[in-house]
Amino acid sequence: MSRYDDIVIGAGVDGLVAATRLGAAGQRVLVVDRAEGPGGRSAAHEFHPGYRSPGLLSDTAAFRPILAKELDLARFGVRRREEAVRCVTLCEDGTTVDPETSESPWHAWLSEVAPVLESFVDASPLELLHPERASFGELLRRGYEVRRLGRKTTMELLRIPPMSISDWLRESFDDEPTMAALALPALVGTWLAPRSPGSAFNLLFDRTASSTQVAGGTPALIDALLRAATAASVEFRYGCDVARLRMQDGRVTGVVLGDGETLETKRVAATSSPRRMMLEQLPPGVLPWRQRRRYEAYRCRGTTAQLLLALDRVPEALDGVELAQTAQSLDEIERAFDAVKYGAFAERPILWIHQASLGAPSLAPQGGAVLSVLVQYVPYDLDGGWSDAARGRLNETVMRCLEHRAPGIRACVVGSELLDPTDIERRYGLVGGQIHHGEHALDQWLVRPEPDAAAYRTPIEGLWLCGGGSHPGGGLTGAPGRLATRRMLTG
Amino acid sequence: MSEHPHSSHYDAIVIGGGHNGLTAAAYLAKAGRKVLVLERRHVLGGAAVSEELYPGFTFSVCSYVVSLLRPHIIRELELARHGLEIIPLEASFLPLPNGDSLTRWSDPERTRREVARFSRHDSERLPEFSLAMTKLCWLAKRIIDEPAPDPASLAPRELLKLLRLGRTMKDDPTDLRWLNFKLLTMSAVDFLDLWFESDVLKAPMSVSGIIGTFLGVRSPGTAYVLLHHYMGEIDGAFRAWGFSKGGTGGISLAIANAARAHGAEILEQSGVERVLVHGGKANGVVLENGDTVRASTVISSVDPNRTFLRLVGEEHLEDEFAAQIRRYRLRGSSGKVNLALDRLPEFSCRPGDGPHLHGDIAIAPSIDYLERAYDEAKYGDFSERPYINVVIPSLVDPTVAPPGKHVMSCFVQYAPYDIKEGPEHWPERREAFGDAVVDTLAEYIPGLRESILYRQVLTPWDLEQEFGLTEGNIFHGELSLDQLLFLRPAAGWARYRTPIEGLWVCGSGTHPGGGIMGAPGELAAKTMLQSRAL
Amino acid sequence: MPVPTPFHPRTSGLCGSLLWKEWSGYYAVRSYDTCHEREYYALRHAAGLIDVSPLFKADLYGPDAAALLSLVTVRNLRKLRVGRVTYLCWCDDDGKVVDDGTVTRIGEQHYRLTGNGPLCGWLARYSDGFDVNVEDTSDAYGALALQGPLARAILVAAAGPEIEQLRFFRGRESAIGGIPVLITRTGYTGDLGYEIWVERDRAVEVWDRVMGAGRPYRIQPAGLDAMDVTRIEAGFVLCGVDYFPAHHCMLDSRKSSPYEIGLGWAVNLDREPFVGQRALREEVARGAVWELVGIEYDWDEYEALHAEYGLPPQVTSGAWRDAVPLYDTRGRQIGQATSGAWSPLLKKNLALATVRTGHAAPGTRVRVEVTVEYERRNVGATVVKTPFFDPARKKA
Repeated sequence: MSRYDDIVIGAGVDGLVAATRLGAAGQRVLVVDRAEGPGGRSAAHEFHPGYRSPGLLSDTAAFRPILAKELDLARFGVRRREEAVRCVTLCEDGTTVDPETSESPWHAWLSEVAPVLESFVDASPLELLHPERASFGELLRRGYEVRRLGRKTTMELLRIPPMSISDWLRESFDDEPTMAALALPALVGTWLAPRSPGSAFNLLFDRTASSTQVAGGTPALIDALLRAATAASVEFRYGCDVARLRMQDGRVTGVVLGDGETLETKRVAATSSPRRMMLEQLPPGVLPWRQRRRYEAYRCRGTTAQLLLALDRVPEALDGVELAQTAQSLDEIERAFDAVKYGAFAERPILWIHQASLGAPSLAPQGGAVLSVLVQYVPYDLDGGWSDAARGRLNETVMRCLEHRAPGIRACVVGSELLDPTDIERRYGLVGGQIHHGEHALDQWLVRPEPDAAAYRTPIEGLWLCGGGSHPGGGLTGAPGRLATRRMLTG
Repeated sequence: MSEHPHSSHYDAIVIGGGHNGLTAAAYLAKAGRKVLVLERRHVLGGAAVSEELYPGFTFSVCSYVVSLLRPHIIRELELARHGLEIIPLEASFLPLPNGDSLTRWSDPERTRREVARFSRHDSERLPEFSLAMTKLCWLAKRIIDEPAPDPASLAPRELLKLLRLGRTMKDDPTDLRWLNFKLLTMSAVDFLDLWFESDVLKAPMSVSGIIGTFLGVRSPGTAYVLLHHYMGEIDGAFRAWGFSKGGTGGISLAIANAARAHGAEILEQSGVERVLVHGGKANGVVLENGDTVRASTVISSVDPNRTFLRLVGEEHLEDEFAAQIRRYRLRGSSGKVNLALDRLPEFSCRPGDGPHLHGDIAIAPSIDYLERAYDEAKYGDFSERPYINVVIPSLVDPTVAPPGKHVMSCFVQYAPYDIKEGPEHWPERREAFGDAVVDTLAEYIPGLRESILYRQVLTPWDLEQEFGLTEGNIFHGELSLDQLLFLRPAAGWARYRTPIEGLWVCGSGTHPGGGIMGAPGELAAKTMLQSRAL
Repeated sequence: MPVPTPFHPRTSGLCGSLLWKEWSGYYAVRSYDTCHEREYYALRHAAGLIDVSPLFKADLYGPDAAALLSLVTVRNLRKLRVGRVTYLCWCDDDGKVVDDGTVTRIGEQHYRLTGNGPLCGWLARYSDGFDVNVEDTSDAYGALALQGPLARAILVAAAGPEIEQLRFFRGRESAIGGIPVLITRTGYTGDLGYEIWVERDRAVEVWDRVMGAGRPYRIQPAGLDAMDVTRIEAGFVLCGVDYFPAHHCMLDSRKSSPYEIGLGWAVNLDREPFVGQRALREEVARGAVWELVGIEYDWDEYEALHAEYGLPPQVTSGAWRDAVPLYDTRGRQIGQATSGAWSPLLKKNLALATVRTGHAAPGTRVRVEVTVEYERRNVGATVVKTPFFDPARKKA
């Protein structure tokens, strides 16, 4: 029976980052994943002969630059693109506009506070609800970092996070398409709309956490991370689902797989959904109710469906367009959101479109293209449940919407796959079909997932949470894996 | 323009004879200052006012129940001696469209049984919920009974205060800290989900999170206002919600009596046209009739928007401050329908008189119903099927209606100030709005239409025109996290002082916010006295 | 407003004193006479019939019923055999007692839990992942406690001779006048006694049958006042009086662990995880801070103290529940007496008290506050072993 220092659950970006860092520090590390290969939410799979999906999360712009440096990813082939891909708006009439051409005072203010927000992503979480755990010096340093921007800016940084995107943007803009274009990327995957208080924080985060895309897209990134991990002597086992953890005397001693096999380890670093880990994969009675309750309250309502399209040629509107979205006004997004509150999907959904094969040509055959369309908003608990008929209706709704924006696209489709939120849950193990391992909302940003596990270490000895369900959230940043292992290696 | 005859006598002029203005005046007068209160209307009270709109029927025209009036203000100003009488509400009644109903009683055991009809689980969680809310209220009390702390200040005193606040928090168990944090950030529904499963219970509970805001029960940040519902309990006042005898105006009158007893002068029908500012200093006011009254201190209890942008004028403000006031969100979302009835309304689900009607009655049958009401309003319509909070004060206070007849006061949400035709078109839609309210109620009270003797419909536009509430906002500004504490009404100006020397603010647009609390008026007066501003 | 119990049609006619109280939302008789004494003596000398329907009940069905109960409560119920009853308590995460009650294993996969407060919400917190169906049967069943030395004879007459065989802490399904009932050999008086559980619709018939069978044995309907005195004589703690449900306490210091309220014996610590186990292990390692004891007042001193005021010694007629402070002999407060009573049988003034562990050994001298003529004084008392009254027939 093999014995490991650490077992990392999940071979997604966070899992690979965590494993690499642990392995590089001399730990014996095994990565287990229920899927048949690496990548997690960004794993490629063939959805039509010759066409591969770029994964659910396919935009690599959020991947933290500091990680590339720390893991020396350049050695494994990671290169950032010179310029960030701009997201254009596909209008109802088939024209495209790039609404972010002008620099505004709003943009200027953002760059002023960018360092503070970047440190939110790149520094360990401040344990807001455990102030006694933070060192006084650390508090002072972080406080100073904000305060030195001046009293006025400090006040703004305290004022804006609880606001809604709509209220915040309307203070500076009056042009609907611009506001919609700014808002949408921050709202994909959330259970929030422009008028929801707290959504301003999502926008702050979205604006500061992204850099330029990784050349070659998700396939290149995953491949590089995999090679980095292998170089750090990390072992991998695919196709094995974790049934539960094995515990002895209150601490984790191993991982029990679905087939009953037990893998012994000193620690477990889970990058899977915190709710699944804490509520389903621990032996009964181990987690006190007061913590159970916090995980039960940890909101994981999926609102996104994914439509993968295999195109044999690209319609004119999308020619050369790598990222696009369809919202032309804030209320359009708001109305699309209204539906999910009552268990219906939006009749006029907002689409976020990634022509992944432009950045990663290997995904599609020569001349063809792969589109990943994230459909907002689509409820997990659809009234009446998700059936083939319901999926068919959604598919038609999305295609009709696409046809308006990119006329002729229907004729180009040679294959497609629609993942509703329940499919997403099944395929990626995401509770509630929530693509971020838990909703991105102000309370769940600041203390993620709950106060006693907000710094990755859980109250269960030997169990660490290192995925998107931890600080700073479930984007494709690699930051949770990075920051968690920093704690694991020092703590 | 003529000088007011006694002009030179006043230490301070208070603009607005609402409950906060009067409270500030009373405290200042009590401390020996000569104070003049100027009220624009013919009656005192502002939005806490009683008026006989129809012969024999007295209405609490705007604000209709009281819960948050700080007990220490009642003690310190001896309001009971000055005529304050509050009759507690006995129950919260929720009629349901399916012919059932839920009544929450002041007797917890009775409530438990009633709730158990819908969910045993919820009935068992009620005591724990109350306990948690009591603890949270106790935390909040430390904040609302004091001027707001200033997190960006570098003054040692402020840092010490923050440190102390942090330290007290450190003593609280993690669970309580977590709940407190969730309370500040979550939606009312999500917060209630921590305890309850039943829509029938959560819907009427969640509405206290949206009163006066332009948000839905599922909007993050609305949980905080739930606290207000429980605030009274830790002051030892069981059943904190009540009717003021003779209508809500009774509260204002009691405070006015207290102020007068201490020597304050109060003038009605004396609207202020503008604040006199000279060399960055306020030194008096000009009345609508052209008179000038001078005093070295002017205190405004009207909302921040009206105070700074109309009474002071942007020309006297720095751009940065003016911008902050301009972006301060008011956007009223509620209206009021007052009815005089020739008989007792008969609820089809529970006919006849009974203690279940001696409290507040909520038309809030489900969370989705409330959320749909909000969705309609978001895009510039009033809700066809709104949330309505009904009270029938004549059942417990017979002085407000002739025998056998009743007054029915309906608080209605949502009625957005900015309807899509534009707010100035509200008068054309006023009666349609009134009809929507009566139609909704008639689904539960079939004979209602026939029993109406008189109907008054107040839209947000009317609240602005008649009561001076900018955009019809009943709280002088939304109670959202970015407009509370040190940010109310503007960052750095949350301590009742303003950038204009000699001008102070003491209305609901200051910390700790709206509702018949009296706290802004009291804290403003105490701050002024402490800093020897007058 | 309280609601009637299933036995109300009978109890309301008998309660000539109109002395009622509210018990968990039900009307409950305090005493049928203006003084509870006759009922007390019936309980100790003949038999009393007490309506205990307001107790909360939950029935658990399913293969994991024992596992869930073992997780939630402090006992390992997998070992409980069919037809057995056990007394236990359950705790929160911090090992503080939430409630106490009994579990009866009625069938292979059928258990009934009783308690002072609602049960199902608490069970629901932990029942995720268990194959068990929890049903709140609080309102479905009426419950009678038939207690006293002649209880067996009465019940044999009412339900048949097989009751003769029903031993202490056993239960069986039986019938009274053809009406199915569950009878357990349990009670809250520390005497020979039974509890009878019957469907609410047939409750009145069972009452009539038992009362009819008991008439030759001088059975008396008894109220809560009489039961309260007997439970103190028996040394049984009462939730909400001698300890407080942890999940309803404002202060941590108000909460008690099983070890602090005399229920440490019920805790099976070394087994698979259960709620509060970790905290209880720590407490055992550390030692409990408080202990529940019985105290007996020094009667001579008590009498002398009253004599100072020119008064004969006075005792409250029923049990009292307003806690009074306890001091050590040097006058330092060491705890509080939480409930007590004058025992007409033992002729002793008794109380249940919570004291710091150093003062819990039997024989320890303490002083307890008494108020005489509006003056607060104190009198000597001795820590004694409970139960104060422990007849052999209790377990017979």
